[in-house]
Amino acid sequence: MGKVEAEEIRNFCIVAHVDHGKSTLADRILELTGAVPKEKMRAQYMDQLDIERERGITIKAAAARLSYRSGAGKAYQLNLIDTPGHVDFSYEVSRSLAACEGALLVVDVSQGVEAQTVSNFLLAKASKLAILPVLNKCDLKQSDVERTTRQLRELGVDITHLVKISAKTGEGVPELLEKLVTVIPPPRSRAGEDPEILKALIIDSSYDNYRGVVATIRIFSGRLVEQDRVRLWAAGVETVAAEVGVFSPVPVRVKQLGPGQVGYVAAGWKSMRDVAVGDTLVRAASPPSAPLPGYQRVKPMVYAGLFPTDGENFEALKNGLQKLALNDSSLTIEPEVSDALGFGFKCGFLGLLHMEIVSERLSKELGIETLLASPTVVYRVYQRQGAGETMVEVKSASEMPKEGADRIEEPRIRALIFTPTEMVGPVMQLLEDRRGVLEEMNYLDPRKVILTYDLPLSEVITDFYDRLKSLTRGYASFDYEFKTYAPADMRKLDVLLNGKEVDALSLIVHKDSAARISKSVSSRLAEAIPRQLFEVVVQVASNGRIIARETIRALRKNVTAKCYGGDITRKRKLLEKQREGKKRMKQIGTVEIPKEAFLSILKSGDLNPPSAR
Amino acid sequence: MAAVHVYVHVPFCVDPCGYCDFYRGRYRSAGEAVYREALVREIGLRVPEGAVVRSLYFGGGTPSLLTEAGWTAIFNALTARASFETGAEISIEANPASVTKENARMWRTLGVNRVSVGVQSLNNRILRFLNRLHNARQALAALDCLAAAGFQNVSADLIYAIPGQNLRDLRGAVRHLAPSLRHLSAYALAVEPGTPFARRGVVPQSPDQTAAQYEIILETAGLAGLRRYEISNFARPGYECSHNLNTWAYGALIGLGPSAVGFDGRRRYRNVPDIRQYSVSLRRGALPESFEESPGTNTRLRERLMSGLRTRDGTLLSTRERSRLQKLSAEAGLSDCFEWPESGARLKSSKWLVLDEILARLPAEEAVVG
Ligand code: SF4
Repeated sequence: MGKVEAEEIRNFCIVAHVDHGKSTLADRILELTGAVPKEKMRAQYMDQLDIERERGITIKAAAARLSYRSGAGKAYQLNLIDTPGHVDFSYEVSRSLAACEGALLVVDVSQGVEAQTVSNFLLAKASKLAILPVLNKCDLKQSDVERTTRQLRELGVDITHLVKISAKTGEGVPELLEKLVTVIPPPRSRAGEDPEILKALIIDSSYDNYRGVVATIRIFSGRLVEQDRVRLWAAGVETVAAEVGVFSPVPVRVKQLGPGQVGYVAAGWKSMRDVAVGDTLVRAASPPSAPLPGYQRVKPMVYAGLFPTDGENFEALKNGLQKLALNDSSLTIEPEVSDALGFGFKCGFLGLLHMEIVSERLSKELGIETLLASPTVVYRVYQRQGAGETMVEVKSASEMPKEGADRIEEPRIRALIFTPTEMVGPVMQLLEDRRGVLEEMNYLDPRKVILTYDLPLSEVITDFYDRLKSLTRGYASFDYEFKTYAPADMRKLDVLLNGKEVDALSLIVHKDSAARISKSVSSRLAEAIPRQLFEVVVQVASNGRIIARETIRALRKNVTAKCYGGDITRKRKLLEKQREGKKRMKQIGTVEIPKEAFLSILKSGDLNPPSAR
Repeated sequence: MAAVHVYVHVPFCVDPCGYCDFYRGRYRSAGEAVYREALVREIGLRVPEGAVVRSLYFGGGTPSLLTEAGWTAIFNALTARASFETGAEISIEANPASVTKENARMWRTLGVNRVSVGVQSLNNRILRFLNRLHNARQALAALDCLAAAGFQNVSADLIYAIPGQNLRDLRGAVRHLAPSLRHLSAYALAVEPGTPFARRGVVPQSPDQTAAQYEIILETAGLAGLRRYEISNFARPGYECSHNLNTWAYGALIGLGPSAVGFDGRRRYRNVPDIRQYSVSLRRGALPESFEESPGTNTRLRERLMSGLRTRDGTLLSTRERSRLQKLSAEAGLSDCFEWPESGARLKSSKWLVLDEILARLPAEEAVVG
């Protein structure tokens, strides 16, 4: 570390497990520092989007500059850097942490340490941040300060400066601020960095109708002044810094930012894709040198079809998604046409929660109901070619090469599961059913176990979390990070109706569950497809071999007994109704398939094996 | 003048059957008087002077409840304006409970030459379940009585798919009845909304069981010489009901009486299903209609298929209609369902029981007409 750049600056973030009080604490800090007057305060001020407020998580990092005068009368500039609260955004979290010197690790004492407490702690530790443990909800009756303290110690958290607060009442928060400025160090320039040369880390970006893309940045060295010609390192885009300011927490134009400071810059960027989190902002004219470390291009980990539940809303869905993508560079969209569901989009998401958030925002903010179909992870499919090999990324069953594959790799994750000790048996069973490999098992205390598992991502993208929650009556918590790609024996299952393949229903499954899932698929279809004029044979094939089969017997009777003069009008109307119903069915060959039949297969989370045995 | 077909609705019954959704009220002699008077007026309005009647059908309700005075008035009103074609079919529906020697003789005298008897079942438990007025013995006695009075053309109605009914019951009933019959109608029980059965939550047998029962009736009737000529109707050769054949062939029909439907080939009307309103309207000299429609070409074609395809002869089609239908049915994967006589189209006999499914799968009639 080099010299202290600005003695009075403290850059910090708040990290916590969901619902442990992160946003409430941020509100109190904004209030206490006078950034937001009490009468203007609304709950969870930093979380700008309704949906985030509701779920108690934030999607996009933002930052607030706060003024604080310590008990000793010293003035500080605090920069509270908000971090996304979920694992799907772990890369963004890591970039936010990289912009800080310290983190407040908040734990709800009525809950104790949870999965995200641990993963956040580990991330903060890896970023070499000063960690200030904060026990929240100490005013509650059911709080167990002792136990939580022990758990933190067990985890390896330095509890010398432990602070007890109630974010709700504000009790203990002034003391917390006092501790903050002593425990968290001021920013320092990075070793070997030329203090004069501008290097700023992009920690967030958002889209503004007037300014274009606005980036939240942390200056590591040098100075950014309005009208500077700047360049984004990875994107290679050169523009002029038109506006430089800070959030306090409303945007305030300050014209320049110095070393260690956090603020925003609008430089006439047009596309969110250019302004990537983790990229380094430099002066256009600066001599070549290394960018700030840690930059990655985030790639979607999960793909799913997104279809309007009412086919007529396609245009609305298209506009809605484009609007969301404008502010969410990790969301990818490409048009998709499904035999079964009509026009829609194949969307790429960072993970499960990201996927859910997108569909919820479409519904809540834009009023568009959507159907998430066949969520799939990205498989790497290798094929021999001459002496070498080629690799394609496969994002849905229909992309599986027709010629088959020599080998397939699937993404695997490291999952951290916290569970009450008495439920560890069923939880481990669930993980085993999902092809999990136990890596570690630790007792945080006699009542709580931390399981570390190596798991295929494909096994958690549907109903895993729901299962886990219901097995443990809501007590388990779960967090994961992407680990690596590893060989997997995956199979493509094809569904045939009277010998005709139904593309939309193909699936990629693991060899071990192929038989069971095929059976489930064929029997679901046999149940959901009404009897027709002809017998319908439902088959599920893997590598051209039929592994499950059901027969839907031909319809024997559908005729009204009486049709005399007085019956004609009514009967005609009845037939019209029947015909309307049929219009809504999809015809594959001569077989009519109602939408429900597709849904019974395509809807996320339905086909997984039962876990409670 | 072209021959006409006339349907007369007689809206009285003694005690409603569980499955009945016809318009009818409890029989009272005062009611009959009102009805008779109004009907006579309607005949005056609807039956053209000098018409030649080819078929006359009294349905209900229970026509067999009408008194001699009622019958006489109605027939007088009809014959005052129209004459009967030679061999005209004059049918009445009769409840076994009201088939008596006297009534039978009276009907003969009026010129009735076809009686359709509501036997429904020969199983007394089932007859009670249906809330019929008669038992099996009475039903058989009614058939004997009609034979004794000289009626040759006698038909019976049967109902199947009733909960608790079995194949043996049905085969036995058809075998037992067939020798006395020229014609048989067999209907699958349908529980219509608003009927006592619907209120009681009665559910007919499953489509598969219903189909099996139908097959038994078809087979047994066939062996006894009653050949199927419409989905629910079987007859000895030459005894097909010409009144109904006319309807299935989409012929014109004069409908008389409350709730009766009439059709002149273009316009369809329905009389108000309420005896009081019916009579009030006629007393004012107005047609007692509560509904009318004039189906367009496309709808008419759909209706022609809907009714014609129910019969052995199928639907008559123009060459153009026929070839369009051929093409469309092929596209809809229905080629296997049709036969294509020169005259039009008919269903293969194996497909009769799924006619509605086929009709619903046929693309919209606009496409058929082109
Ligand atoms: S006799 Fe016929 S019209 Fe009368 S209630 Fe029974 S089914 Fe209905």
